[in-house]
Amino acid sequence: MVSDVGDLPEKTSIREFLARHSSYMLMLPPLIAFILFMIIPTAMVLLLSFNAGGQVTFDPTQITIENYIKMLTRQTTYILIRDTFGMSLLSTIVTLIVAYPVAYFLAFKVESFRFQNILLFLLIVPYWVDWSIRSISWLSILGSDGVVNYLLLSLGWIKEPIGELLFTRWTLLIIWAQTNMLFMLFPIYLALIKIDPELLAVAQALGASPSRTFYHITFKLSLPGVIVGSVFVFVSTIGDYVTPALWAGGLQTLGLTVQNYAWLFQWPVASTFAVLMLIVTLTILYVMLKTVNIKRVFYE
Amino acid sequence: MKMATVLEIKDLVKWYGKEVLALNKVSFGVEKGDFFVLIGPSGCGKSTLLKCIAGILHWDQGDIYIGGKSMKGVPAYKRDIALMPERYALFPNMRIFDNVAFGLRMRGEDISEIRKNVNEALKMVGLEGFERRWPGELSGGQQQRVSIARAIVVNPAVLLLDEPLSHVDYRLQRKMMDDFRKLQSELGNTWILTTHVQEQGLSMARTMMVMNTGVVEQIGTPEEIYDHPRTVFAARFVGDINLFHGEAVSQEKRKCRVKTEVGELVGTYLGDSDLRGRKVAYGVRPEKVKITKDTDTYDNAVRAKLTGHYYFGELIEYSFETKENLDIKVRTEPIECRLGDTFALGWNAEDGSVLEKSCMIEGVDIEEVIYGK
Repeated sequence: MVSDVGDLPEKTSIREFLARHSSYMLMLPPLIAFILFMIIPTAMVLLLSFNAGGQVTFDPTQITIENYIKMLTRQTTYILIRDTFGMSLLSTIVTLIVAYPVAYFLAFKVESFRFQNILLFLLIVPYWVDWSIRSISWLSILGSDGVVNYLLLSLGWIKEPIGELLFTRWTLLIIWAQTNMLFMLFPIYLALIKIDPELLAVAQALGASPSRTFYHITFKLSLPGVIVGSVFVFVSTIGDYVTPALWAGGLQTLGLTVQNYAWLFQWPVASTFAVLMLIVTLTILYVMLKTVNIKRVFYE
Repeated sequence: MKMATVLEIKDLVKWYGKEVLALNKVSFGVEKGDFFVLIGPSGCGKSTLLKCIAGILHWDQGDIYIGGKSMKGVPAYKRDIALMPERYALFPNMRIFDNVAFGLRMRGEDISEIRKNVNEALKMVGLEGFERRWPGELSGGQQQRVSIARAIVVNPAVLLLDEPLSHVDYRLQRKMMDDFRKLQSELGNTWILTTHVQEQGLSMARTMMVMNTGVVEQIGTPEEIYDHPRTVFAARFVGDINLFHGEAVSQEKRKCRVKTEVGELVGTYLGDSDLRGRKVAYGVRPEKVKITKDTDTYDNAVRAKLTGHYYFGELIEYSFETKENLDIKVRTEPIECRLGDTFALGWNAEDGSVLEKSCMIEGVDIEEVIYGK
């Protein structure tokens, strides 16, 4: 008898199974790496935060939420949260304000694509220098015998060098803006060059002034870039505890707290703070990504 | 009744770089309420002209007047115009409603007025109920109609449409042409439309302007241009025509006698130059030529041999060859004939046009312009 629909296979051998799902096999190496280096460590941190004392491995017999209670009842925790996320958000905004005009200039005012590439290349060059050297170079700019003080002194505007240029929260903002500029600039630039110039012409021919054309069309269409860039900068400043330690003049952040406890071999407490940081960061990212529907703004 | 001129172009010159002269001293006027079609092959400058009028392109010399006011230095958003660009250019970040409402919002209308007008405009283009959709969800034809609604909703003095029908299929084109005419007469404002398809120009335009390499070849009603083309280019670009070359031998009033390869032909000349002794072209439309047995019925007669035919549905196009090896095309109802038969082809003086020049600019290869390089 001839069947209309074709015979369904009754048994599948492993060889057949592999052949059918071979494309999924390609995912295997990154999946293993992801589980090994991301999921397991995160799970370990999470588990360890429910232990107390000075242990370094998870002990399932001693589960307690003591760490969390201590952390959440201390006033300083909230100051830490405010300072950490406040500085990161502030630095994201500063970076955005600095990077957007540059990206706009590159995308719309530099007409030749070749020249755009050359300028982008020049922007990347400083990033070949190691991060620590790049940030130390600020000493010679903002230090008490740095360029800024020298300039102000020789202009006669000040009598003594200003020491407060370095090791304040402002220093941190400047340095973060500089070190993270490209991560903001590139996504915005890529979003801007995708915009069809005809849209801008049409908007103006329909009665929109240049500033309103910018707001309603250019800026709104570049929002995916702005959001992606902001996420990059925000996440990398949250995780960065070295720059605040070096430059921010005693500013305490969550990252530094985790590091301090880890150095004191208080791994469970360090884990608790790490979990707190993770939760707050994910919440903020969620809100950021929710405000702009990225899929919507990218052309269907 | 003579109507007021809403748009006037004076000696407009536009260069692209130093080599390409896109507009070469273009001058014309458009009356209020006109349906004005700019027709020409790609690269003739019609889109450039439209962009200059819209204010999204700067020109080098001359001036544009809208409603009597010079547009020199007036930015696009301060002109009483709206533009429907060739590739629709809907704002991808806005729903259909917001796309259409854009121009009204920029003009500061209040929300109830905006809602009323947007709904009306969407109704006119047959897209009610699409307000909440996104541009990406619409087909090409629908996007185009949104683009039209977005332009008509602001009710500008001059509505500019750049090749609005070039991206829709033939059947939809016919329907849109109909819709355009109805919409335009309903709204009563001035429409300027560009196209490179002669059928669109002829059937939609109240006034038509033929352009070629940045110059105006001819302005007139579709009938004027079709029946009495002034140059070979205008004749060739709008409709099909049989062409002969020769020398004008006599001229009286509007009748001009031309000595051509196939003998002396008499035709109409509407210009005011003295053509006698000059090299001219003579053209006659394929459907004006009659196939007869008798050579005396018409003012002009040529004997030719039938070499082939094309079936056009309602008509047949017959190809004939004269003894000088020149092709003559005739469009007519089917006749009884066989290939190789010799017939007399005849037409009257008023159906033949004497064409003074090949085009308005000397030295332009019109074959290259029409068919591309």
